[in-house]
Amino acid sequence: MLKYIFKRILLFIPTLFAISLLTFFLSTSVPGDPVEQMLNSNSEMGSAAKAQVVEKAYIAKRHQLGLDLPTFYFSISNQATPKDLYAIPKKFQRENLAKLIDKYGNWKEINAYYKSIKDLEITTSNMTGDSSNADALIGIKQEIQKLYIEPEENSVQIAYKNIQTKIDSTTSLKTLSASLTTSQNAFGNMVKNATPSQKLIPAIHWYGTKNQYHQWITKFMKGDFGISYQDEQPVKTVIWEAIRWTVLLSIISIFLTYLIAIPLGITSAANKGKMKDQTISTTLFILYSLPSFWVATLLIMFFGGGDFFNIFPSFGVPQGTEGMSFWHKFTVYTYHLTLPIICYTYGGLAFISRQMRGAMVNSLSQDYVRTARAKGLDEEKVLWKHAIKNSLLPIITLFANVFPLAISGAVALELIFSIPGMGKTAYEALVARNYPVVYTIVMFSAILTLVGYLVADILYAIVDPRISYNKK
Amino acid sequence: MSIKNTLYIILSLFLILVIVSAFTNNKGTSTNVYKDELVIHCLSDAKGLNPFTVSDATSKNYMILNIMESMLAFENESMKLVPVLAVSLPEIKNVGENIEVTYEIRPEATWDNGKPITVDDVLFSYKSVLCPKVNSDNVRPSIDFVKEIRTYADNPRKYTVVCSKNIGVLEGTGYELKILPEYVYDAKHLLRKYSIPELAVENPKCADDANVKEFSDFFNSQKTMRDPAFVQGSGAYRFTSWETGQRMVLERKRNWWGDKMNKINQYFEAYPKRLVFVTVNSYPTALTALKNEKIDFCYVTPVKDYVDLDNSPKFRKNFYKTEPAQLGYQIVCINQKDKILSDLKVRKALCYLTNVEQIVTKVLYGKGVRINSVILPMKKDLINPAIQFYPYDINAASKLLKEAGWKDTDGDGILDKIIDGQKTDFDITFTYNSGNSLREMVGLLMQRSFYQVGIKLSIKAMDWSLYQDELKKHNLQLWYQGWIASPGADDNKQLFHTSGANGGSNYGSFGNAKTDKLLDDIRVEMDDAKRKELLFQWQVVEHEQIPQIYLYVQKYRNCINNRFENIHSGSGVYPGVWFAGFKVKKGYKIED
Repeated sequence: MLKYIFKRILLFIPTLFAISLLTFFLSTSVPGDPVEQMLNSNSEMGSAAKAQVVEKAYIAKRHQLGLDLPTFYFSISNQATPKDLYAIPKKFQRENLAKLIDKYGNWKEINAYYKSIKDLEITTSNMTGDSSNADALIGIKQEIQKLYIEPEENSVQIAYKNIQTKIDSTTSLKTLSASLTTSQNAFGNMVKNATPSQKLIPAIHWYGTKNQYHQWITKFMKGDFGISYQDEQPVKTVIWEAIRWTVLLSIISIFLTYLIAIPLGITSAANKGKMKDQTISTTLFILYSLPSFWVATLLIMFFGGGDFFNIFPSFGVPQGTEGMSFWHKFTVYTYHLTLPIICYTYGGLAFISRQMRGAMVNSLSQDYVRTARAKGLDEEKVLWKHAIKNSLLPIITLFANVFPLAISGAVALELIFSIPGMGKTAYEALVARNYPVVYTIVMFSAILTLVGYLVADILYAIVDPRISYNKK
Repeated sequence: MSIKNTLYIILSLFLILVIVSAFTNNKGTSTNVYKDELVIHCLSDAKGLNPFTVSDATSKNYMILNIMESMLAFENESMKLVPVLAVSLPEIKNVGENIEVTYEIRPEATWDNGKPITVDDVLFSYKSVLCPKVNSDNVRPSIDFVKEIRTYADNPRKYTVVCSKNIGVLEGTGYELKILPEYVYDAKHLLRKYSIPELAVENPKCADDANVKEFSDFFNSQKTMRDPAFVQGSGAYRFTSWETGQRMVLERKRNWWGDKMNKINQYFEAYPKRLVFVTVNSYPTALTALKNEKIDFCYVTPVKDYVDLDNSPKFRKNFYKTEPAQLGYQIVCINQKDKILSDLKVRKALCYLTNVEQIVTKVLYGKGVRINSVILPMKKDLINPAIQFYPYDINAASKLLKEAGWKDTDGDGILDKIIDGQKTDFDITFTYNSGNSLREMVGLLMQRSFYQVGIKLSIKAMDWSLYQDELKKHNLQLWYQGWIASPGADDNKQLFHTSGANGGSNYGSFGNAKTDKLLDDIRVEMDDAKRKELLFQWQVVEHEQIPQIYLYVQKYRNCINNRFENIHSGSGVYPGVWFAGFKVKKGYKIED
């Protein structure tokens, strides 16, 4: 058995590695930019910051978060893609370059074209506008911005044509002609010397350990989960503050779920097909089909002291319980947590009790139960002593899910009851692209899922001696 | 005892416990004795309490405003700047290319340790914003015109800020910059080693200095965000506790310097003993708590919920509402470079087709005020009386579209036109950020009226980050946008200047040389009468060139417990009230 456990724990390592890779790469391909989010906060209104200041702040923040590093130890791309494309700070320019590479495949020419746009931009912005040319200059600047994001040949040609027309119409802008011609030539060269075959030849670029994934995973293994992007607190603190409420609520509600569901399942099975069974099943199915966020809102509206009964608090968790006696503390907690726990619990009842009922019905038709009854044992003992043990296997399988559930929390319920738990934290982190918090929660859920399954396997062997993990 | 019976006993015990705790803990409010505190609802938790490194509206407007002070502040009702730490409004002088603003700190003003607030604290506050490694990106732009600060040997409370010309100087130097105690935030005087010009230049040499690093490491740290020992100011309230995601408590100072000032303006009124900010993320929950008097103040954003509150007898009995107009406006932006929308006649037609009155009535339940400019209705003096609203007029719109060459040639009910040699249907898209049902409703109402003249308007919801990305790439055609305005001088260069089209906030690429010049002129015109004239001209531009379709300013939807009066309802401070001013009416029993 010990050997088996050890083997399973060793298997955790590659599994977790795979999960960490998956999470990391999924997050890098999600639209949205965490740097932007951090600088603008989450307001729907715009801030009045100046463009250049924002640009500078963007680069500094990107560096501070380590997002200017390559994502992984190596990249598998093609001969056409340069090794350091990631270094270009502006996302839309990076995306456009990738599109150009995909189309033309000759990085040297593409780079020359990109540089020619930059030159044209610099030359234009160095020109001083006067009443005769100001409008034309504005128009040219806007067309140049189009060049940065436009991979289509037609649109690029239109932009060039528009710039040319504006230069031709204003004598003072004639000096721009040279830069424009250079850029047009660079574009022409890129199209003419296209080597699309280059992108068919695979290439591996090696970046070494100075990459985002390495930085994150090595710190993670040392217990440093990083800094939350939202409020710049250590992720450890953020998670610790949230996890205690979620774990408390989960443990109580899981305990109650099992405590209620198992006897209900057994009673149903014992009265299979009778009125009692039907009533229990129907009630549980109705409960199961009620969405918890709706029930939560109703409970608050009816029992939270609004227009109806003032029995429980409408939001929040117990506070200022330091120094209270155990009994006082206990009642304060019960007072605050009753409504959330009802919502956490009722949904799981149907599922577990159905499993229990199914297993029990199966057990009750077994020979040993008939023997027990034939021996004259009363029904109570047959059910609660003999049949129950063999019906617990499916419940144990379900128990494996308890571990990750205990820390993941329920987003809707935590938001409605204003419980600062893991569900709320994870949801807010996801919305704000707060990756350090998201990674840590996913990794811990993964670890606990693995632990859950291991514990379930061990419990199998304990409950049913026929199951053994030792090689025979 | 059988297992079954044991289970029944445990369950019954649980039930009894629940009932007992509900009765022992639920004190209710039936005794009619209230605590000396104001409980304020927040939809999201504060991010931190460092005025220079946080950017969220909750922290800045709800909490920091009560803990820290600036030289001047906007009065809520009048929206005028009034002196807070300053003796009076500053003296402003034009000196060549510069503007010089001279302040004098009140002699009464002291920190919590009893020491007077001096120019050293002011210098420190400026330096901490300008310090290259401090994360003050959100505050720095509002004082980046500061060139130097002159102090006076004969008066340690007097200083002159030398700025390049900018209409924002009063707001930046007077209001945006909170004055922090140097002895708390920089006890080692690390920043005294540098002058303002040394820190303010583009690439400061001192960026890699050990002193700068030591200071910014501390100043950016969590200590200045949430540790009561390092969150201090000269305001009437002291930050005492914060349970993340739950509640924050600010305690009234016993010996606050401002008490000597005879309540000369709202900033010297501070009545509740405690300001308690509770975070409740869901409105149904918050409103239940409000009716139960567990919350005293709530700004209810969902309009329908706000209107429905009147159906609750408990609410009607214990609460009243105030609805000052918000200093922020809502518009539908137009991409000026779009092949269909670049035509001025088309843009005008869209204005005629947008039934703003209907939107205000149906979507906002009347809780909005129509606008036709970014100069908002509460600044009555600055509104150009010659400009009228575009009426809802389908015939005028049809006529304009016809003149612009739009006809339904194929009889499919949608207008079309040959553009760049291609037959183009009048098929445009209105985009809003997903999850915002109010914005969706606006789109739906516009869709209906546009269709009457043969314009197909598709409505698209987009994830917030994607929405931002698309805006920056100028990929959208029509989109919903909200902006915050300032109670002070209007400077809209950022939104309409062509320089803002490349990376700035001029997402619609509006503008030409003439409008750019007008915006530049407005930014540096310090003479009120002349500036008013320029703003009138600007409103003509807005009316004639249609950079966007103007919708409305929303009203705050504030619910306040009946026991409070003196709330200073107005538009100057978010969310339209001054919390510290809340005073309990006579006849209510208050316990300590």
